[in-house]
Amino acid sequence: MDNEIRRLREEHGLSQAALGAALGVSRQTVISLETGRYDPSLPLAFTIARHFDLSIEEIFHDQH
Amino acid sequence: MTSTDRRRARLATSLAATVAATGATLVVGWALLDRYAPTDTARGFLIGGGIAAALVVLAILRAHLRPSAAASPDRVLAHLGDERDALIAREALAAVGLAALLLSGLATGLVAAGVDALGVTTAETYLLLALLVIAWRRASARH
Repeated sequence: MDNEIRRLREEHGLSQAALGAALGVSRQTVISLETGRYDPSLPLAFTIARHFDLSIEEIFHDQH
Repeated sequence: MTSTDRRRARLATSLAATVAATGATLVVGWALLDRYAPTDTARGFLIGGGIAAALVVLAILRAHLRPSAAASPDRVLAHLGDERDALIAREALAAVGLAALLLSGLATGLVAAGVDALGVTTAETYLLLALLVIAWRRASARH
């Protein structure tokens, strides 16, 4: 699943570690999310969306 | 209570629980093996178990004191893992569980066929440990 996490993080001037701390996940998990290797659970997707004040659909894109 | 105090309290609890659990396991295991197992099995269990316990304590300390340097197993052992860490642990342990069933069946057959039981069970233990490391690394790379 594609996502906008890297772009949003950079726009907000956050490091991967800082975003991880804000979301309650590790820096490695942020890296995996950004590269699309890991699809978050629905609660984590909501946390990410709330953090950037966007909807889930604006951050995550179905590839189909 | 500040967040630093809470972090310290969690670290102390985690370390105390680990030391108590591993200490009890080592003592009971050593007592049983010393009485019933052949040759130096009890001593080997105590040394191997002691090394494993020390590694677990190191992992917990790293996860708490140097989170940026901590890896997925450190966080899982320290109960600080996130959902990705839990997924990796679940996949790796599932692979080891399945392999343990197959290897135990094979080991039973080998012992029944007359192969040295101590050698077979030792080989099985090391194979499963190696498989755990490989499965964990593969799951980390996949997720």
